Amino acid sequence: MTTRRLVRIAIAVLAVGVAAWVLVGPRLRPHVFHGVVMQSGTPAPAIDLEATSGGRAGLDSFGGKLVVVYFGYTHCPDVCPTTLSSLNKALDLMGNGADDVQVVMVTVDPERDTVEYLADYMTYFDESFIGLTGPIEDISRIATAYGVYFAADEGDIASGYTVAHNASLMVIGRDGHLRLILPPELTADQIADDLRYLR
Amino acid sequence: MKRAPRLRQLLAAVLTLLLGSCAGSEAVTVSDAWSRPVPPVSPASAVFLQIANGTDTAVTLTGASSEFCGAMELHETTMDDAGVMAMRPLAGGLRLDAGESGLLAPGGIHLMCLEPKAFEGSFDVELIINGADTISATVSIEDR
Repeated sequence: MTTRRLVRIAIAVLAVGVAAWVLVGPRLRPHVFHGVVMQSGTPAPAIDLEATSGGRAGLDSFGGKLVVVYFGYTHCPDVCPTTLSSLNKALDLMGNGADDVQVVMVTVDPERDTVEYLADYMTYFDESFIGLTGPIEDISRIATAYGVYFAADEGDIASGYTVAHNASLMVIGRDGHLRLILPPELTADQIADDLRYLR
Repeated sequence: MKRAPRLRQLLAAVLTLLLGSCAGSEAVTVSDAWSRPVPPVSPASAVFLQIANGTDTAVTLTGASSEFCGAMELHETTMDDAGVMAMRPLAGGLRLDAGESGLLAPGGIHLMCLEPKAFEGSFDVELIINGADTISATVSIEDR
C-alpha cells in the first residue's frame, strides 16, 4: 500500500467522521433547556375557564398538545404584547411542529378583559392563541396553584390601574404535568428550541 | 507666498472649532423611535426610543403627547426577584445629564400610548422636555 493510498484512506475516514459528528452529534448531545425544568410528580393544577374559542376550556381541552400558559392582560402595553409576539415568532420558527402547541393567556384583569375583547386581542397575535377568563376568585385560585402572583396597582395612571403579575410562561407537557417555566426575557429562538424538544 | 498655506490652515482650524462648537450645542435628539404593533382593540401600546442630550446642561424627559394616542405617560416596567413585573409612572421623568443618552426599551422605560389610533406605518409624537419644550419624533410601528 503506497503512502498516497494511505493518505486517501485517512482523508476518507476523517470526512466520514466529520459528517457523522455534524449530522448525528447534535442528536446525541443532551438538550440544554433555556427555561427552568420542572419535574412534578402530580398533574398541573386544573384550569376551567371561559375560552375565546367558545365554551369552557381546561388543560385537557387541547387534544394532547403542549400547553403554554401565560398570565397577562390586555391593558399591559409592554410586557404582554412582547411576550405574545415572541410566542408567535417561536411558533413560526417551529413550522409544522407548532401544530402540537397551544398557547393560552389567562387574564389577570377579568374586569376589563371580556371574552369577546380577549378573542380579538389574542387572535391578532396568532389565530391559534386562546384567551381564558372567568370570575376573579377562580383566576386567583388557579394563579396561586401555579405559583403566579398578581395584584392590581391603583396608581396615578391614565389607564386607571395596572396589574403587577408574574410574567413567566408555564409549559404543560402532553402528560398534563408542568414541565418547564420560561422566564419572560427569553427570545423567540430560545422558546422555540425548548418547545421543539418537548413536543 | 509662504504665508498663504498658513492662513488657510488657520482658517481651517477656526472653521473646525466653530463647527465643533455648533455640534456640541445641539439640542436633545431622538432616534430609533418605534412601537410594537398591537391589536386595534388594544387599549394601550408602548413607544420605545433613544434620546441623547447634546446640550451642556441636564434635561429631563417629562412626558409626551400625540394626536394618535388618547394620552401618553412615561412609565417604567420593573421585575422583582420573584419575576413579578409591575408598571408605574416614572416619577420625576427621565433625567439626562449633559452629554448623556437614555434608552427607552421593552422591559424598561417606555412611553405608554393609551387608546392608540395608529396600528401600522408610523405616527408622530411630541416629546416634552423639562415640562415645557417639545421635540418632534416619528414613531415607526414594527414588530421587532
